Amino acid sequence: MLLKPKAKNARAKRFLVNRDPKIVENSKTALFVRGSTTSQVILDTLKDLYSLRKPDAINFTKKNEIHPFDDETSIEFFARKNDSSLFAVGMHSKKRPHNLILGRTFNYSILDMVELGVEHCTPMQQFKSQACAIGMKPLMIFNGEAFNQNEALVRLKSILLDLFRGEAADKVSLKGLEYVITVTAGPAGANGETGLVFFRTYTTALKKSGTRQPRVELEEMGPSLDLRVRRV
Amino acid sequence: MDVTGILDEHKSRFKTIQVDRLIPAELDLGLLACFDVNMIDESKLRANQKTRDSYLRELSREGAQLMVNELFSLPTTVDEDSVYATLPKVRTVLPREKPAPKEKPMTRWEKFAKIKNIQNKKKSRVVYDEEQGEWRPRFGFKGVNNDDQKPWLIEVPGNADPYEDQYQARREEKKERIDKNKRRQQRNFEESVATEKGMKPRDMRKRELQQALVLSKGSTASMGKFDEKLAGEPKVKGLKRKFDPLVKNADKEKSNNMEILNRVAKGESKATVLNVRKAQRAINSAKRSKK
Repeated sequence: MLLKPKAKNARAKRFLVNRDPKIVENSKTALFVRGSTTSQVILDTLKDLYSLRKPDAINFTKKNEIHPFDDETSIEFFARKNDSSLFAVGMHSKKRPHNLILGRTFNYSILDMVELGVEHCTPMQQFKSQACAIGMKPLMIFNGEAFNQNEALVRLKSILLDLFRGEAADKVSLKGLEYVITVTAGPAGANGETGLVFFRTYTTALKKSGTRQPRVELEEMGPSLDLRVRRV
Repeated sequence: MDVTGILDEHKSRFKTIQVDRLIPAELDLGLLACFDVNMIDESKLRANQKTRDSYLRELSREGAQLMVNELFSLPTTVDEDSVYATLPKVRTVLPREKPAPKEKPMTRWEKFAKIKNIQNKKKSRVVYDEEQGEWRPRFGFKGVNNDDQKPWLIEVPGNADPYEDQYQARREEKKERIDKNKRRQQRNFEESVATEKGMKPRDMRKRELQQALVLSKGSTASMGKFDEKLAGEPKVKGLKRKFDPLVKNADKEKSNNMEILNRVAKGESKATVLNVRKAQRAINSAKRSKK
């Protein structure tokens, strides 16, 4: 898309101006794409991540031949057409089972990405707690010193922060702190394999504590994923 | 009066909100994030799923408690019936989506307004029309500005031709105003393009004319040698047409003819014919535009 499209009426012009680079940017849109073969596990993961990311998310339901690590052009094309700067591609193959690739773009070209293997997934439907409203900002917790040391995990932390950031806001309603996302870096395996990263989501319930700050009680909701970092 | 007993009883009724941590966790409240570098109990994580999940839940609860404690001690504003905490600025650096926009150069009017210190006065969309007793838009459909286009009577001014159509005259004036505006917008656009490239707009136009001239000369069979030249037109160097000599080498003539015949027999396809000159130009222009 080397030619800049020309707007023929005011509505088109407003649409293009919205997509232009700005000093204070719009909140990032995330794109959820399926690879050529998918498994139930990976489909559940994508569906849950999409529902956590709504409304700034686009879900593609058709399967696409995409291999982001080999060929960046298809991802960049999608990003340009949909004006999305975050993407998540899910695929499944014998060599890389239940593969999830999370990534970011800058100026419609890939900035960085992380490939994760979903070892275990418990989708939102299996938890009996109530789902929370769409568009709430989550509290995010990153446990483990590996998130500051291991280069792959540092990148993963940055991407997850971007993905679950929600709208940029300078005020938050104290009643609206509805859910918590915890990411914990597990220990490395005995034979030198990278450890699992535990991703858990909980809804918060603020209980009385006798002081001004309430006590937090958590109840598991939302996807629970055990991820293993494969490639960066 | 010994109140401590009552206080202790009161405290014991509620679960504690204290969280103890060896290394204090780093909080980025602007993002609602908490980075905890304390040691994790690895044995619990390696154990079976149930202990692992409950351990993770404990960790999460403590982390969330830390954050909630901090959040509730931030300055708050009350709006309608919910209390809002003002978040501090985001401390973690997250990459931008698109590069920052460049500053646009000022147009001619903007430069003039800056010198004369003219402020932009905001005008209302609707204006009260006394005649009709209604609020009408200032411009656009049924706008006040179009009232002079369709009056039921136009007086012929003293100096005008009596057979001239005054309605037509008014319409033409309006059209001229619109065209003038469009020409000015185009001029502003060209000037901004020129200043972004670092040239004066006049030099830019000169360069464009030069390029058009060379192209037009090359389009003629004699490479523009016999065209009418304007006064002051620069001489174009290096635009010649090559003619083969009348008496050629027999081998050369044979190979040329065979080449032509082969092309005709095979049929030219895009893969076989490569115009090296055009390809090189395309690569060069792509390099320049990428810069």
